[in-house]
Amino acid sequence: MSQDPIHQPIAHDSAVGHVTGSARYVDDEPLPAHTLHLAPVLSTCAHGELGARDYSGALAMPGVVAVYDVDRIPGRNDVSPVAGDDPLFADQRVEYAGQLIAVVAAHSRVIAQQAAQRVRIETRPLPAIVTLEQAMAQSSFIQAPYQMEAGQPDQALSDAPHRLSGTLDIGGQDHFYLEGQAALAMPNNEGDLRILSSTQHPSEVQHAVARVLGWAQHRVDVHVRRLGGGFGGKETQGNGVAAACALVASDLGCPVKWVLDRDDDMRMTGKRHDFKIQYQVGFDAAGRIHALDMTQHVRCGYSMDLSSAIADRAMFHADNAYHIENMRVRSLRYKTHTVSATAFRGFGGPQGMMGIERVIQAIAHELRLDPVDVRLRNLYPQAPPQRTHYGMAVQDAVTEPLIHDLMEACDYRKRRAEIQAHNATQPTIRRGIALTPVKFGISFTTTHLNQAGALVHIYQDGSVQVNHGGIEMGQGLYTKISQLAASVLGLELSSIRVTQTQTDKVPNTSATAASSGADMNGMAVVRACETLRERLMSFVAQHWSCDLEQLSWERGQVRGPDQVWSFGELIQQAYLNRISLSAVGFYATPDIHWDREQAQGRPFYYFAYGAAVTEVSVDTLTGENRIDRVDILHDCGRSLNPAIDLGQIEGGYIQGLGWLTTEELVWSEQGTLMTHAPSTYKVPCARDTPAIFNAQLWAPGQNRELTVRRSKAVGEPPLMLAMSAFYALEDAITQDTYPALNAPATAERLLNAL
Amino acid sequence: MQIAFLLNGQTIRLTLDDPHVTTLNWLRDNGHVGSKEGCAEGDCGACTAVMAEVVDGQIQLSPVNTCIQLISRLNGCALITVEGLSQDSIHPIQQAVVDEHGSQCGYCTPGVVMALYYGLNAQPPQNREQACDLLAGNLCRCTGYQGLLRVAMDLPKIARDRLEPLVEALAALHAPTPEEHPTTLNQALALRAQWPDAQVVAGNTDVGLWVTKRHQRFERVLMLHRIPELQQIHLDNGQLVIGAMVTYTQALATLTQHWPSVDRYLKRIGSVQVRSAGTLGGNLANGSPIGDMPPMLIALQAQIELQSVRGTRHLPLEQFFIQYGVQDLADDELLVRIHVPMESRSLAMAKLSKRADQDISAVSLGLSARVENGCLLDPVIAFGGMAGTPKRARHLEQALNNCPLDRVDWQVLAQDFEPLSDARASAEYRMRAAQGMVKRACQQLLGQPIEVLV
Repeated sequence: MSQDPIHQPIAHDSAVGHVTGSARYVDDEPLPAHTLHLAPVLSTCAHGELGARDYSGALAMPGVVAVYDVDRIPGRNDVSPVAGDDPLFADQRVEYAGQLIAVVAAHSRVIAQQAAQRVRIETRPLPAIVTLEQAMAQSSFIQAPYQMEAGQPDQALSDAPHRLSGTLDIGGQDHFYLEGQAALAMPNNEGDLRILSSTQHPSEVQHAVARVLGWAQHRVDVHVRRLGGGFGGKETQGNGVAAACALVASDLGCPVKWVLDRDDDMRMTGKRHDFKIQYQVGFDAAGRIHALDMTQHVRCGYSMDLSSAIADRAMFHADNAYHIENMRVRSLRYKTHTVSATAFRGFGGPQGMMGIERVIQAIAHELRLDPVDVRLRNLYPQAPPQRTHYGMAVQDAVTEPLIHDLMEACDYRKRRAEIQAHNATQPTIRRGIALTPVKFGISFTTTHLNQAGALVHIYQDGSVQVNHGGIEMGQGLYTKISQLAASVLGLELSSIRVTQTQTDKVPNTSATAASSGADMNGMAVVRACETLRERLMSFVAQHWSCDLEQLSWERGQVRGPDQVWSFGELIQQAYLNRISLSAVGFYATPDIHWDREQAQGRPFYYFAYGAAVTEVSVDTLTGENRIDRVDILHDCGRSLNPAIDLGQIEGGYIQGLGWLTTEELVWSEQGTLMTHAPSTYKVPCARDTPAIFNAQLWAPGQNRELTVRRSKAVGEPPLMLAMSAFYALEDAITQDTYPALNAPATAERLLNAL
Repeated sequence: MQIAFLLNGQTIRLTLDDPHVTTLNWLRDNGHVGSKEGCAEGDCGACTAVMAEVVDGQIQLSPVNTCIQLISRLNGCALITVEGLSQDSIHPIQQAVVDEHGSQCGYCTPGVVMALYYGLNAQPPQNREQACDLLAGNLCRCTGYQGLLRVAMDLPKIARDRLEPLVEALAALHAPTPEEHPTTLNQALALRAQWPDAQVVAGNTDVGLWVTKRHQRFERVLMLHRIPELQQIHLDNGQLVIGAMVTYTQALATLTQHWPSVDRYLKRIGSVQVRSAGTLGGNLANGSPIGDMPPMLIALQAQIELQSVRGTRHLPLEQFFIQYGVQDLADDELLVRIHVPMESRSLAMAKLSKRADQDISAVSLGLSARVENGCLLDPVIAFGGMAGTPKRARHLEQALNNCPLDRVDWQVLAQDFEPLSDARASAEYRMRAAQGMVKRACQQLLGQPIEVLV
């Protein structure tokens, strides 16, 4: 037998399927006979009253079967995750350009798309609130303001030797998962529905479908094998796609498929929230922050979606890695007539951190200090634990040693001195460098979501099938799950089959989100496997008439005082002796609690940490720029799979880099999204990655909490390492006055700031 | 229309009722679902396959964005999709991507693998620059590209595939000759006169989007890719004569030989996929104000040759663009050749876009001049993206002529243009950055040491 697969750099379980094209996504499934295809009719108006809807042109086309709109919904017109305010189809009024009004069902996707163009919708325009500034001016709140506070911020501000105030605008981001949202709904023999969906949250799709149809949830099964990227964009945004398919499929009794065209997807579905952050900070001559008063203005779009939790998380991360004794964070959440902003890797955390990093940069500039020194002077100490502005003790702060390791490894001080000397010559190409840390809280801040289930079967040939509630979207969850199951049962990875995720195998799942996939589902799988192992051991002890202590379980073999069974023999014997070979596992994250009323508690089980140094060049003639080098140290605890975790770190950094540099969402004054395709919305491509890219796991990493094999979650935290690139660009253009660059730092913004 | 092609070695014969069927839709509708749709506009590369044609007895490979390439274009060709790489065992490129942890969600991966396959068998990258060029047309949202770049840079270590048998196999195909695919210029001109409503298709990198995004339907398509006369590039009487159907990829070597500074500019046009399909003639005839070739060719004072059954005429390229969406091209005419004078002018090019690679220009610039005594003489400055058509900056040309750079008033550019604001750039930025671009281009022509970042 080979070694324990845990902590090994094992390839993604679908890697061969990926490279050969045989790994299937929803759009690749062979279709049952008589499958119909949908195409959307979207609002072109940001806010208006719906008038006449003329479908005759579409219905007259050969191949078109029907058009469905709000009048055809048997249950509730609601596909929202929380607040009941996301209609499947617009009803009486439209609230953003791109909102779904109807779907055309046809025998092919191309016909459906052509027919949708022939639908005529009358809309009487109403005044639209498009920008955050407009929403602020009109106090267009979508939710009550919320506040977290520690110490005496007002007093400490007025007592501080130095004060600064400022503003930072942060743009949104499209997920640009390569696979558009997709669903295939198939009626079964009882008229119930099986749905293949590209969702991160199959249980929520199940609920949304049942609600729209007016059915009990037990009539809907949702199956997901893999997603072509999710990044939070498929946490809630697939609900409508699946519900529309389900509506048509249940009505016509035939399979129905909808794969969103890229432009439709970008117009229809939510994006990262844009923020405006205002701050007042008081500090001393050494750059130590005495008090911070920060207001986060959040553009939520036309509905709540997950904005409450996202805006909360932005507040939780308003301190990033810094202990600020006197601190107030206010969060104002606005309604606009734009697409409802949604979950995106980091879930508000990135915007929150960008705010405090801006504050640090501004202080450093004011005091003419190296920003790294201001950072080091404000970090949460390793000991004694200090409390955050929401009352949680930071027990595991490792940013300080991690930053020191990073600075040494990448020669930060020397390089910074060289860059300053270069820029002092007033060159055409200016250079910049910045180091930023990340401290990211791990757990759903909605505490009840921190639960996961698993179902593990052992079949008579000794092969093991593992089911769990998590979704594979590229992050290697299934691989880590396989490693854990193989490790607990002492088997080869080839004995473990992780099957697609199904609501009829593991019910009531939480979204695969909040970086929690491996932490929670991994633990549930471990528990199910341990249950099986213990059950089998008890059986053996009884069968061999010995004590449990006399037995050992090593690499799939049971060894007793007198004999040895291979795993195959063990399973055969257990079956013949009528021992159940199936077990469920369940995990609920311990020790966390959150009192939203008091804004106090321990919302996070632990924190993940990292830091990055990025070096850049900027052309002062045009603002064009290049990311020259990045050095990253990131703490994954005891990594379950260093290769997969490194992939998350590299990919997260580049995705964050896109958010903060070239990915600019542009809306027209009327509220139409202008950047709805890759021709105008520019995610990083290969050349945008720095030529020198040093990313490493931080070797001393440990999780002090009892997470699965002492690992740390890694999905979201590395995205925020890219803040170093933004502040390096800002550093490059900084001269006597502080440029206070807004994000994304496009070439245009950089030139304007020079 | 009858067509025949080889798909992963297997002969496919089709009768097409609908000329709009894209290669990707045909593949996927027929169970070949390895190639993915990421954008259906040739911008993400998830659908990339490799097309093989016989040119002068040799196999010529092109990476294809199958989402926008019409299936009829495959007539007489071989298409290799990701399924074709691992028919017996996994291809070394695929194994390398596995070993380098180059896939995460896997959706872009088949397209990346096919771009790598093209690179391996056409021109393996020798360094990171070339690896980035090879992968510029393939967006990956998960990995940050590091493993993929390692595979691309290691391609020279992998043995090339044996593609010679395709020559015989394609000859044995006896592909039909559809009327819509004329094989001589005279045939094409006759059809152009006969079918004034037909959509002329060159590389299909733009028309393809009219099909997939605007859902436009044409009476007919008239495809020009099989006319050898339009694919020639040669020197004639002090002029470089470029056939309208010469692709960027085909033109690259000749153009960089004569004007070395255009290498990076040309490689920033689209991606290997787009440059293997897109043609110089198509880029001009399309009339877009943000096409990348007009600034370069206007700066080089190129003439274009227009033909119809009525005869031939020549026109300075800059006069071809009348106003936005209107070109000096009659309903029965085709743009057939570009004539570039080879006088001793120096050329500098610049392109401004939100992203360095595979992006449409916000502003593009061509600047040519004679260099004497540290000054530029008779400069020609042509911009894209600054007006409704590609256009010369006459005021700035005058200000720059024989004037030391430190005395040039760059602001006169504001007398030449009133650019628009759009999703790519604001009017103010276009104006300011354009001045920076010209200044940098002038410094380049004068041989001053300058660093260009993108």
